[in-house]
Amino acid sequence: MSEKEKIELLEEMMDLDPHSLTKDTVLAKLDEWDSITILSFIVLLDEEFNKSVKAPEIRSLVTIADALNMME
Amino acid sequence: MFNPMDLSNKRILITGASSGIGRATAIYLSKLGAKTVLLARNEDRLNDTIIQLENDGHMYIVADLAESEDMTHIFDKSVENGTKLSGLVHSAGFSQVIPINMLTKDRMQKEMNINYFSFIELVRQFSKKKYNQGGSIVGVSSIAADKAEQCQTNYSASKAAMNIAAQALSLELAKKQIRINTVMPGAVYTSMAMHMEESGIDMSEIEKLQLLGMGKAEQVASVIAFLLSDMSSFITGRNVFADGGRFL
Repeated sequence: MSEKEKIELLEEMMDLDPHSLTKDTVLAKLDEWDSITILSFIVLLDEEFNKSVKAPEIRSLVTIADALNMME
Repeated sequence: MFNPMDLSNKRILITGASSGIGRATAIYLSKLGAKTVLLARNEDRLNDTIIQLENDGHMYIVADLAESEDMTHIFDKSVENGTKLSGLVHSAGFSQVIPINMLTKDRMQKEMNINYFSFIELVRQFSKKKYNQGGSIVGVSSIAADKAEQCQTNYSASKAAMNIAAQALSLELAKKQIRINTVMPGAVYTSMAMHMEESGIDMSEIEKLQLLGMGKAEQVASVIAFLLSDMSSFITGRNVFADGGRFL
């Protein structure tokens, strides 16, 4: 999956308009990055990347680039 | 004039709009000024509904919820004129009377698909920013979720699932300025009630249990209208009885 496709997945997950995220976007500055979104991201990682990740690991992410690194 | 029931220019999607409570709701909401999007399987019956609506700006979509895993297309069409939705009513429902010895997973699946899984998919789509401008969701549950009749194990469970889902979903949707509630009708004169009578449920006995006797679909529609309107702006995650006072 390309980086562009991964960003699109994140935008869809957070119900954001297309092209609203970049690798440098700081998660803490997004209103949409809340506890429910963290749970959504856990499901996304499991379904799309067959990865089991716990919430504390996700809470420690700082930028979209960090999230993309998990999406492998 | 102050009228918090006014739904002028609010666009509201109604499933199961070709009959019963869904049709009565569409008619009732149109009288309050809403622009409705009617959804059901049968185009002829949808036409019968739409000619009974007041004002203009209504539309209908022919779709079978049981066959629609992803309902994106329904919502894309609902907002294609540029106006986002302000409300959603899930009135499509399916009821079976099945004793436990015949209650196989296959038989349960269809009822769960329409009553519960479709409800969740509709809410999932409605809650996307591109489809709503905040608003109110009403699921048509049933008194059966609280007072079950024999051989209605799965129907009761499907409606109870809607009820508790509304509470859980209210926690997620409040942030999006979306309220969600269910209404629990008692026995009312609809084709579904007649079907239950034919399937072995004694409606005359049930009628005796309701202090106000059998209801009419319009009496449920008015509660749904209330839950969609600004009059209920402080109510979310709740299950509202519209059962003519049934306590037994």
